[in-house]
Amino acid sequence: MTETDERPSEGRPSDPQPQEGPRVSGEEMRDLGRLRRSRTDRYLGGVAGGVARHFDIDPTIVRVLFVVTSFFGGAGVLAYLALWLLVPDEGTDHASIQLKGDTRRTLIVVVGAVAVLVLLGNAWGGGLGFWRFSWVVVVLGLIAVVLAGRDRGPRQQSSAVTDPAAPEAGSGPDDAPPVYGPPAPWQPPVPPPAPRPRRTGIVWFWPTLALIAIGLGILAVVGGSQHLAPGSYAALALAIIGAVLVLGAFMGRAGGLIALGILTVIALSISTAVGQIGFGFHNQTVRAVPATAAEVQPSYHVKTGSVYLDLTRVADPQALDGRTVEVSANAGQVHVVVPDRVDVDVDANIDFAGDIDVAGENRNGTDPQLHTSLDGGAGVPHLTLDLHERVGQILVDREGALR
Amino acid sequence: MNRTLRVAHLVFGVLFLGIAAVWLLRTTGVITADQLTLSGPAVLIAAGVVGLVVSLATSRRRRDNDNDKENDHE
Repeated sequence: MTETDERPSEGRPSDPQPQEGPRVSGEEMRDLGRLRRSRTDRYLGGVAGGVARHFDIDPTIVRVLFVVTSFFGGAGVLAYLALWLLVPDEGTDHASIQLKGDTRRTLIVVVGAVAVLVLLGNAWGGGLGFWRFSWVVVVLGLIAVVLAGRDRGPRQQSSAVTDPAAPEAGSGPDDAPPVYGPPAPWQPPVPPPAPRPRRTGIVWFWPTLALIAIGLGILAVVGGSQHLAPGSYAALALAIIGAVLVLGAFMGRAGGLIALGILTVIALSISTAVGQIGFGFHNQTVRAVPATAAEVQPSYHVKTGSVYLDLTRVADPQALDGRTVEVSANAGQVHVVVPDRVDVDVDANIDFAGDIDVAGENRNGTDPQLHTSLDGGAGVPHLTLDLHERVGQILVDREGALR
Repeated sequence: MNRTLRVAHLVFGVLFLGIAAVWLLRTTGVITADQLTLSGPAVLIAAGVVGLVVSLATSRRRRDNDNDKENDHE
């Protein structure tokens, strides 16, 4: 095992537990740059064996985790393939995608984070357009980071050889025309210029963060008095990052901003999805059983929770004629019971996902909509129900159906 | 301009600006959820086209520069 080579203090004959082999310290576990794919314990790429050895756990557990999480949005497969490409084989320093140590470490963490987010995203049921769309961006971003962070060591050497500023003795006669003038006085050879330190390219990173801070501060001051849409801050940050990246593409040194932008896209999609669904810890229940048409409100709304509106007790249903009642919830249930002797136009829709049932007529899935009319007979009042949710269930029942 | 254009930065700049714009349009209700399924890919395509065009343009410019250098030697 190569790891024992790297740890000279371990594996000595005086080791009190020679049967157990070397243990891995927490510091070694945190150093993901040490992660190697196993050569001896492998079925496919040795990723599970390598991860198990790195974290000092049973490889079977790791394999089971990879397989099980593969059923949740492919998180396991994604992580396995990414690690297979990124992590060098045991005993070597060469991975399929050759990266500098820092970049590789960062990417391994990002791969883990993405896998966890895929798991969470899948557990939340997906179906959120913006949320799914952001994964495309994340994957593209990973590709870009890989391309940008590729170890350019050998290429730099070759470019130094072909550097036109350093004249070479071995240049062929085709390249330099012979000079027939008097020989130039001898000059001490110019030492080759010291290799320029690699431009880290993160010059714009901190100013951009400062810009974002200023922008968010201004947004908070300006928009503080009004209700800002969820995700406003993330969207502003993303726009600033995008603008600086476009500038930086021409002026250079905008490094680090792609990664920051990807994180912001994730933040934007989470805040948008969460904000739109309106997850809250205050579950509200609105239960209305108006006794007269005058008591029927034009609209009923809860953020999270349920609205139950029973119109069957309205003593003067004729007065409901021509009225529109709007019932909405961000997440939860909307349940309306209408009298039998009323014509009802129902306009029901759920933005993201859910289930609509209007007197037995059913729609479900993502973005379900149902427009239907319930006939109450001749000469009866006409009522319009406008029912809207972001996530959840919309139910409309006839009085008679509940008896 | 002697600096090389950073294609990846440009593509992602366009992509991020596009996402922010689509978000703004969706939030202000200018586009509906249905149109969102079109505008999302449209942003990706726009960013990709920008990247392609810029890559082609810079590679051509580099080739021209190389040719110029060769001509200077002659």
